[in-house]
Amino acid sequence: MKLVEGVAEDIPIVEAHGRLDSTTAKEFGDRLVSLVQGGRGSLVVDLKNIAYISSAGFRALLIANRAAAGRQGKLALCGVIGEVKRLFDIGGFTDEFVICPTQADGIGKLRQ
Amino acid sequence: MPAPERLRLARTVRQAVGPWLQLWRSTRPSAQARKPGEFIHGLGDVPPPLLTALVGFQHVSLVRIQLIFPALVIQLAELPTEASINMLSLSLIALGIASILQSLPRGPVGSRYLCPCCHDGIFLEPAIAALKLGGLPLVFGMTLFAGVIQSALSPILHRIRPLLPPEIGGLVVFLVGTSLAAIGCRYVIGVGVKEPVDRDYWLVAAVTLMTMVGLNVWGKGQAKLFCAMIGITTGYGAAFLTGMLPRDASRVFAELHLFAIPHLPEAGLAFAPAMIMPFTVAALAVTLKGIGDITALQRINDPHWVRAEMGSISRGTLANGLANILAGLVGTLGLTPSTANIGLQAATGMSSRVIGYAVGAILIVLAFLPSVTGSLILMPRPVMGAALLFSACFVLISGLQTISSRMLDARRTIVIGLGISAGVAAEILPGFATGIPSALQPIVGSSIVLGTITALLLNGVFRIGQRQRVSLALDPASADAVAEVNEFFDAAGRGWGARPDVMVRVAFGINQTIEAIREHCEPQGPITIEARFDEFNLDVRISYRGEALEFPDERPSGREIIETDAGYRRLAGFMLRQNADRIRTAVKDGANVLEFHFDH
Repeated sequence: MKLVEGVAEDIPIVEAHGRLDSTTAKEFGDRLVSLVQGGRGSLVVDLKNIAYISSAGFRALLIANRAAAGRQGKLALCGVIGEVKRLFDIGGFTDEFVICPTQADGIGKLRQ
Repeated sequence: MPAPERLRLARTVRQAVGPWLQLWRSTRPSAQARKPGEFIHGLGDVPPPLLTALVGFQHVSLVRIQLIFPALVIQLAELPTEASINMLSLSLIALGIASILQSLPRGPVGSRYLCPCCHDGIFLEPAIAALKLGGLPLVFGMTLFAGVIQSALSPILHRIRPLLPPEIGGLVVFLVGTSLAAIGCRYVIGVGVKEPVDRDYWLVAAVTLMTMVGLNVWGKGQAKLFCAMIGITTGYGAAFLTGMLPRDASRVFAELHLFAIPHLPEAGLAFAPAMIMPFTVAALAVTLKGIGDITALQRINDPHWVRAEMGSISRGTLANGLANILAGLVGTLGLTPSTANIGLQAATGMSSRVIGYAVGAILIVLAFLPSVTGSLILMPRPVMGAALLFSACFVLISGLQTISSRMLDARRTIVIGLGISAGVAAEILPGFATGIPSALQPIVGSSIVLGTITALLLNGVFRIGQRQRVSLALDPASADAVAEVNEFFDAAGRGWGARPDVMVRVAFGINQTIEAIREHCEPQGPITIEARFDEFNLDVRISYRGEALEFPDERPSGREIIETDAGYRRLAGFMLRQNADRIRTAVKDGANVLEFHFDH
């Protein structure tokens, strides 16, 4: 898995590439938590290049989401499409996260 | 007029016209994108008579466009006016009876859906070949033969489906499209026609084609739906203005009776062994197309549709076969369920069987009114060519979509590739069939027949040694386990010709299971994976020794998932349960056995 990081309007953005499974989820989750704790508590995570996400990946996202809430921030997910969208649906996670179509929408949502 | 009176008048007009407008709007195709099963009048409903008649006429308008196929054969046969119109009237009777048969609510015949029938390009090429060989009696006799073949196939469809996989169905549809396109192009360009081919000829063809294309691409509502009919009418107008209509057109129109009773043709029926193969392939092609059409009907009528119901498909195929026997007996070309009419009922939100009876009755009544269909026999060649070319676009793409809806391995790629190559070669290489024994000429000389036979034979050969059941033993400690299992299922899916969307679900299921076993179950020894496939079912069985996984109906809370191992483990089981259509667990010889079922 590869993480590409950036910042827009003071909000960190993480673009995840590849598979989000039990072998990669820990590293992914730890990085999200450190970005949340190192900044203002808000973070955009772009999942459009994720080919597979398992229960381990969802757990990592939940942990990061809780860390953001702990700092009065939010985690916004974007690029939740195709097979990843189906897995969010069957896992019942669609209502657990702020989900936006694009990174710009995610930043807009977090700045509200 | 004072303002209060104007308002009162406006209110009165609105009250009087309102219900009619509502009725009209409800039959418009612009009320589209209805979800499956969301019908204003569903299968068993009885809509009001006026609404039934209006929607019935809309269906009949679509069916009428396809009369172009018998009209073309009539023109090639150079029948006198009265015989031509009689044949079109008999076509209408056969179409009417076919539509009623398909809608019958019980008994061994009929799909039990609103399923109007129409003439189709599938029978055009064999009919032209039969016409050249033995005249109209041979066309009718062989159409009857195709009906017998179809009726005979209907009860054993589920058994022979492996021999007729969907991608070969798509290939046949694609080849029908190439055949229609070839005939259409010849007529549009003016190759091998009697008429003088000059600027006016091409102008009429261009006006017809551009009208159809323009309305289809940029038109809305009724204009888009009836673009072919409007294009043909515009083509008639252009032909009239340029003087392309036959000189005796006005005399023919004047001769058309308002009412006439159709009579059976005197020519009778003929059969020829040389035509057995082309019409058998046509019967197979119509059957494959019918399977797709009836499956689409099941899908749009049932919001909980998961798989094709073979009873309805078999009865629908039998109804189509009997209709083709009738078509041969009364003297017309073969029929198929009309795909365009299936789209219309999804668009209008009315799928009541009663509309099927109304369509049948309207078609039969129209058979007694020659003036309504008589103009078709005068259709100028460039208009006909443009209509065929337009129709070919959709047939070609529909075939390609069906082919690409399945995962194809090397074998299936070769089956389809060589099938298309053989069909195209027969179409474009002049003299391809010369030097071949005369008994084989009908096979080699027809693009549809040659392409289909090539694909069916190769499919039969390649099935030898192909396994529908595959297995794999996986070392859970291996770093390559994920890649190994993904490659294994990708190869299996391609070999089976499985649907990609189902294989994506299977891939998640296997990956998540392996991951959960490795994370939570402390596996001892290898994980064994077995998968079994047929056209309707994909079953995966995973066996391992270690702690059991649980598959709860309810998802653990976010807090449980984050804070407890049990919550995290149960999330994996919950997602696996949601991902498969059915799941079963057992313990056999000390090993945990997980069985996942996926509908295909």
